[in-house]
Amino acid sequence: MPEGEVTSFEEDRNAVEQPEIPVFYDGTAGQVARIAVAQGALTLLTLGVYRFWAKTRLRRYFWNHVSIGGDRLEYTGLGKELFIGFLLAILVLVPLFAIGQVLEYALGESSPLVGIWDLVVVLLIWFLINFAIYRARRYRLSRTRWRGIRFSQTGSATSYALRAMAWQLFVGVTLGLAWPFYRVAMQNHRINNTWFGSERFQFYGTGAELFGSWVVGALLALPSLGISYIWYRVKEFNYLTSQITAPGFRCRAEMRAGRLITLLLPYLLAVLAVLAIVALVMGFLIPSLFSLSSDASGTSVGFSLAAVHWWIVLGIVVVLLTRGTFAAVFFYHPVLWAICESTTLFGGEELEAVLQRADSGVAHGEGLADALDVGSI
Amino acid sequence: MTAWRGRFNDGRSSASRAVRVSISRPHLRILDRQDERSSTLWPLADLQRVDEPGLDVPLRLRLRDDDGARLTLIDRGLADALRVEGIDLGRTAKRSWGVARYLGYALLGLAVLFVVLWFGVPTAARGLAALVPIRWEVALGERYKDETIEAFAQASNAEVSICTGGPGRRALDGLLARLAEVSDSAYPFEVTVVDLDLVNAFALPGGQLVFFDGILEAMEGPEELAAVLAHEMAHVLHRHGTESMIKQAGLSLIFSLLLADLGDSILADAGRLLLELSYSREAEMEADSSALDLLEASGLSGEGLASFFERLTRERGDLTGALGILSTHPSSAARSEAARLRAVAGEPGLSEAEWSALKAICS
Repeated sequence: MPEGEVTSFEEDRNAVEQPEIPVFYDGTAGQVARIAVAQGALTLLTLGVYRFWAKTRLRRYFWNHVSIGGDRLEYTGLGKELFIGFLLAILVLVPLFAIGQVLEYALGESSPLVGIWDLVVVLLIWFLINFAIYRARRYRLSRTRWRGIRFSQTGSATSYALRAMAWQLFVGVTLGLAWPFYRVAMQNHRINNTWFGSERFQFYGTGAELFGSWVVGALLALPSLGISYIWYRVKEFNYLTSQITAPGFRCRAEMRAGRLITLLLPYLLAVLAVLAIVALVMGFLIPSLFSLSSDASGTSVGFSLAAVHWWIVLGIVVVLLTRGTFAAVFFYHPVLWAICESTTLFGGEELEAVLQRADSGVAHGEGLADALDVGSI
Repeated sequence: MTAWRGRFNDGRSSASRAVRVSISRPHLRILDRQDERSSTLWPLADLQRVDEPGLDVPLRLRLRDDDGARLTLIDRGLADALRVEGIDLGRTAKRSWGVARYLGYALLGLAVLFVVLWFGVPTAARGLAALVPIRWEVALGERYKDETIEAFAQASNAEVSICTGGPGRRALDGLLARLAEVSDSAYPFEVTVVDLDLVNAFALPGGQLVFFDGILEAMEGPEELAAVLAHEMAHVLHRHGTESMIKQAGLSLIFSLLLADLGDSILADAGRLLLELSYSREAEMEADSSALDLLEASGLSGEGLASFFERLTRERGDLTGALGILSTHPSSAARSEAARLRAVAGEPGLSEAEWSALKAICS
């Protein structure tokens, strides 16, 4: 099978037009489920500590099953690196919260200093979330190889985060109207700092192209039960992807919203079902649990927790801990499927001449992104 | 000699070269199909599988000391041939090792977590609590007193009503002053009696003590009141409340960070509460023991400590967890035994008249 592709690829190299590079994803839901369930079980057993290794294992599977021009992607990250990144993130976040707690205990909630500190923390967290998103992307790219050549990301995460914050503020001020411009600006920053080996990607785009779709998608979001929003996101994905180029290389994405929704149907339905169950349990039982053990003073008021409460807590723990497993099979897998089947890459000889770039030295990864819950597969 | 077709990336450029691969011990010979003179030798012992075995993807190899070079096999069978040569790529060392190592890391992480939660946080909280100025503790107690009383009242669906019965109040304050005097501390102790039928009392940091009428009703003599009073004061003197607040803040933080991926504070609260249950036993024992010291120093009887909890256990069954004097309590039976260890003789602390006045403080 791969032999034929290689030959046709080599023949195409001589064509004048940039030839199409076949992209496909051949992971199966069954295999993803097997891995995700086993990893999820270990995560459960270790109260979440194993999740860094679980995530790594899944990524390896997803990357390995994306084939571009007959060569599969490769993920070289290690669970250890994610774990160390997480520990470092804790070192940043703990003092941030600890100082606030100490100030509050010492000066009282109403002290202006506590208010100022809270504001500082909110701003810092806002900054760190954006910072973490960029850093996490840098880590993932640095651990991705194609034909043995590394991807990488340059540019400072601080400047990305500050730009993102300014844009987010602007989106807020314009009541969301600036959303597509913000998305395009950030994609612009990201892609223009993305490298494959010695080759830098470029992005040319303008939010104006998406503005109409955004207005329609956002306005109809409620009456269409969110479907118009998904439609916009698909349009946005197509645009943001199709504007990516590199010397001798370009992308085209033609995802259709209906197709994505079909692929995600089990996921959307299951999420609704779980939410309904959780709401039911929360609505009836959790208030009684927490009103009895309210601890306004910090000196916890001790009432015995009936066995039934522990079962509910256990249930919540199980649902939350298995969420990742479920998402792997019913969300990440179909989304990756949709992306790969709808994306076409075109590239010529230049693609054969990309050189390895010196290691950018990303030692550990994604800690902040994980701790702040902005990490993804 | 058997040869397999494949493509080779040298790790320096993205160009793929069609190659013919053969085994020539102790190397894997990678021969360029365009240029037969150029060949690469990879030591068999250093071969490593890129993708996990068991997945239906073409065999891809790299060197253990990864330099970016990749060899992708088009023909099947190399893995089997290598196995014949004693090189096992199937369940490679990397994989079986890998799982054991990951598990090892996970277990290590878990062990570290438990050490931090069970020893690190309590020890740090104790150390930090000792550093908090009494002034801060006092402010804290005053600030949270009403809120806490309100929370108790809400839990039992009642309105908050503070008992101020004159003679009873004076009797209570007298007893408190007597104990406070020997405590030799800067804490401004103050008792509030709340008209709620809860067999409960608690101490807030800084010296604010709250007794519910229900616990006064359940007492059979002034020595029991003195004992519970001394017990609550001991909590304040040992800064158990402050310690517990710091501990809880720390635990909340750790739990919410650990579970950040799951992002749910309910979960963090539940986890924290679970740990809190096992923490406070030590504090209760410590408070009991210090209460006896206080009673002894002020010439009061220590009999009440044992008798009160013993009777409650007898009458109401074991009150583990249900009787929150500071927080969750050790089994009543266990504490009265501990209290019995040291008998402290002394006077009851209140006269018959004072005692009756106190019993009527809320009426």
